[in-house]
This record gives sequence, structure tokens and C-alpha cells, in this order.
Amino acid sequence: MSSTKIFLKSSDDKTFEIDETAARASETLKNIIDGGCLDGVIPLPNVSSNILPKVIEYCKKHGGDNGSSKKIANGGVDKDKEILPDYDEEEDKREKVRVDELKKWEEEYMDFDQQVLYDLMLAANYLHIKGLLDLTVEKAASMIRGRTPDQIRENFNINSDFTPEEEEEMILIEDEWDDEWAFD
Amino acid sequence: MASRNSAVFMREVGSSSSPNREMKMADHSRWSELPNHITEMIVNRLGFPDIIRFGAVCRSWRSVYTEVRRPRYHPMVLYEYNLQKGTFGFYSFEDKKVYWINVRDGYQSRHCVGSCESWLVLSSPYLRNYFLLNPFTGARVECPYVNRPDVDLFTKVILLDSPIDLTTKETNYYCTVVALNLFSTELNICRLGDARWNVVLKLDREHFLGCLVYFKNKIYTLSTSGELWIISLSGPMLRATVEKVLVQINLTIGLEFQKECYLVEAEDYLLMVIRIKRKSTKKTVRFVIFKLVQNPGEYKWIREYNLPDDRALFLGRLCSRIVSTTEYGGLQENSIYFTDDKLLHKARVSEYPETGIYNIRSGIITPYHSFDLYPFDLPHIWITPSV
Repeated sequence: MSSTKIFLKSSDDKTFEIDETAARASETLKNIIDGGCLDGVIPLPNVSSNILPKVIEYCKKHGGDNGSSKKIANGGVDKDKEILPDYDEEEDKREKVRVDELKKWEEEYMDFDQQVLYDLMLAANYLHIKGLLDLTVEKAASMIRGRTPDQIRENFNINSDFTPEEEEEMILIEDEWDDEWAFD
Repeated sequence: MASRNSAVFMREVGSSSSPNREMKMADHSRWSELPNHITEMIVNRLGFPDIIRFGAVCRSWRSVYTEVRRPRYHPMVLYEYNLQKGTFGFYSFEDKKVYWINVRDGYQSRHCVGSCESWLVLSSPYLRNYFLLNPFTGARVECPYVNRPDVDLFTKVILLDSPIDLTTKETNYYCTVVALNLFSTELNICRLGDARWNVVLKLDREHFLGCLVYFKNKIYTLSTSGELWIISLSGPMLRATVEKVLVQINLTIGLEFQKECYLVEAEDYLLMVIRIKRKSTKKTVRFVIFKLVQNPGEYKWIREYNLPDDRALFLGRLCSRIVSTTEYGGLQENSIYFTDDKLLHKARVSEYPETGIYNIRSGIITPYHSFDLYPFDLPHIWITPSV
């Protein structure tokens, strides 16, 4: 499929190229393209040059489809899928392979530290890329689940800004198995 | 011991000392400055108790946690509670784990007399008073003073509203509280802002069966003579209007059995669940479910042989609730999760309080936890966390 090239300029004045079909994964870019303001470069003052390639990589993978990425982010194939009489097993297998492949890609794609996660989340928010925003939000949530506030702070490099008086008034909620798992 | 840092704040309800002091903004992580709508997206993906821990990370996350409160979470079992020490142990069906909450100074309370969603109704005998406590937030709301010697003797308490206004987070003084006394002969009512409790109904020759439920803006209870009492409250003085109807049920049980009645609000219907126990062993053998059907001028209990699709029933003397097994993971559908919480006001009892899951189709009873929840002598209470 031939496609028009679009140029994006990062906050630190570096220009990147992206196919129009891929760019349409972003609602913001889609609106600009459809608005017909395509002469020249689209400036993205909120996205830096170390994040923009990452965003483009996502758009290339998901260009043109905004829906399916959400399905993957929410856990992939529906386990309870009802088996209908004219159910195509081959088609289902191909679908499963496709989903597995995409999950694997996402796993590798999402392998970065909390600083990149933060920037990517804001970029996805700014560019209205729902699938990517869901993906990053889910990653952040997974860095919270099953952890103590101390462990969460460490994961996100946050300092507690509560006063000692507030700490004094604390009610404690404890996980019985913290002893064994807290420090793995 | 587990880390003491896994903590939540106690939120004083109706407290005037709101901490308005200067906030130190030293060395903030960018994560605490995330746009609120994104932080909310993260919070919305967290269950219990992760959400409480999220709220204990930093001030900015705490403010989002306070804003984005979802009304209720997965039902849990409160299986250990030392009110004097302020210790609560919960078992979650969702992740099959046990959680603990410790409150520093305890509550000077002897008995838990009721539970409603996330609220426990506790008695403070020396003050001749009852108070409501949400152990998950530490929110505490006092009930009006009871100027009577049998203050200790409420055995069933229900809340008709939320005791906390979810918008202002202040006490909802219009929240109505309804209570049955020990002998189930009196219906006591108050609003949290009232000066005292009022006895609105008093029975002489019979008594209520200890079940009390709020369903479609009316209070329902059963009396020993088999009458269904439908009570409407109206006006600023909460005047009670009573409709009494004799509704027959078609159920014969053998002499070696005894029955206990529960009324349950099940979405659009009112259910009466009858628990049949063997007299000799005091063990539950079976449950029978009836649904209240109202035709013009006539009420009927219709036998139900199954729960609606993907539903499970939590059944207890203090509170019962029907839940969707699709919405809440880890539950078996068409099953009754039951406990024996009627002995609560006796503190610790010698007999082992019965608990289990009753499969409605097969009639088989299985335990709901794979290990024993220690200690074994406290009646389990259903509780639905909300923060």
C-alpha cells in the first residue's frame, strides 16, 4: 500500500517521518491530516526526540486500527468464546497466532523504565492514541498491584510528602504474605 | 511482621481539624504531577486493597484516591476482629488472600451488632452508644445516645442510606438507622443527626424473626406468626405506616429439623431464604428460596429453584447480598455463601460458627476457604469494602 509521508517535529527540533496510515492511529494527527494542514511539518512541542520514535513505532504497528489494541491490552483472546456450529477453527488459530504475536511485540515494546513510561504516557495522551494510553496506564497499574506504598514509591521514584503527624495517625493494612514476598 | 509502611490514613469524619498546613514540595517525582485524568485511569484499574495502598503513596495520589471512590468492591469475609485492639482480618474471595488492618488505639468496643456494605455497627457499652465504623478508611460516625438500660442489646441494625455524604465526605445526618432489640420485639429508628432513638413498633405477644431488610424504599420484616410486615417511613418525624400481610409458604420440614429465615434484597426482587438445620447437630442441611411476588391486593412467596444467571448469594444474619459472579471473580455461581453470625452479641462462643458454600443445584456444601481462618470461634461477617 503506498502512502503519503508525514513529517513530525519533536520538541527539540528533530524531524521524523511517518506513513499517513500509521499517523492515523493518533486522533490528534488524524484531525490535522483531515483538516488539510499537511504542507510541511507537524510540530509536536510536547514530545521529545527520544520518545517520538517510540510513538511512531507503536503507530506503525497499529496504523489504521484503533480498536484491536484495546482488546489485547485487556488480556487477549476471549477464553469463554462460544463455539458456534460454523465455527472456523483455522481462522481462530490464525487469530490466536496474530494475538500471541502482538502480545509478544507489546511485551518487548513495553520493556523500559518508569521515566520512559511517564513520557510515553503523556505523549499518548497528547496525541490521543487510545491503545497506547491504555497500554501505558496498564503498565503503571501493574507496577502498583500487590505492592506496599514503599515499594510503589520506589517503582515510581516518588518521595512520601506526608508529615510525621499524618504518619502517626495511620491505619495499617497488611498482607499476610508480605513476609515471604515483600523483598523478592 | 509485615511492613508497617503498608498503611492507610485514618480519616476523621466530621472532624473540624482539617490539616490545612503548608505542604512541602521538596523533591517531587513527576509521577505525583501526572494529569488527574490519567491518574484516575490508573486508579480505575486497581482493585482492593491496592487502591488503599495507592492512596498512601503521596499527597497528590491521595487526593485522586479520595476523589475517585468507587462505591464498593469485591465482597470479603471479616473473620477476625479484636475491637479493643483495633485488629481486623479479612479474607478476599477474589485473590484468595488474607488482609489485616490495625488501628493504633482500638475502639473500646465490645460488640459488633451489625454490618452494612463496608460499615460495621459497634457498641460502646460504657458510653451507652453505638457507632458506625468503616474499617477500610477509619471513618467513624456516632449514632444518637441511647438512654435506656438495655443499650447493649441491639442485635440487628440496618442503614437506609450511606452514613457519609460521598460528595462532601461529611457525616450524612439524614442517614436513617433501623435496629431490632435482643428479643426482636421492638423496632428502633433514628437518624444520625437526631438526639435520640425512637421505638416505632413494639410487639407484645409475638416477635420478629430477626430479619430486617430495606427494599424499594420500605422496610420488610417477618413476625413469628408468619406475617410479612411492610413498613414505610414518612415525614420529618419518620412516622411509620405498617402494612401486615399473611403470606403462606408451602414448605414442610421434618421434626428433626429447624428453620431460620432471611430476607434478602436481590436486585428487583425480595427473596426469603430458609435455612434448614438438623436440630441434633445444628448443622445446615439445605436452603430453600422463595421470591416475593405482588399481584394487586395479594402477596405470594413463589419457590425458586435457582438464582438468576451468574449470581451468588451472600447470606448472613447481619447482612446479605446478591452479587454478580461475572463482575466479581473467584465466586461460584448459583451458590449461597453462608455464615452463622447470629451469635455475634455473645462475643466468643464455644461452638464453631458454621460457614460454607451451598451449591443450589447439587445441594452440596463445601468450605469457602482452602485453609482454616484462625481463630475458629468468631462468627464470620460479610463485608464489602468501600473507600
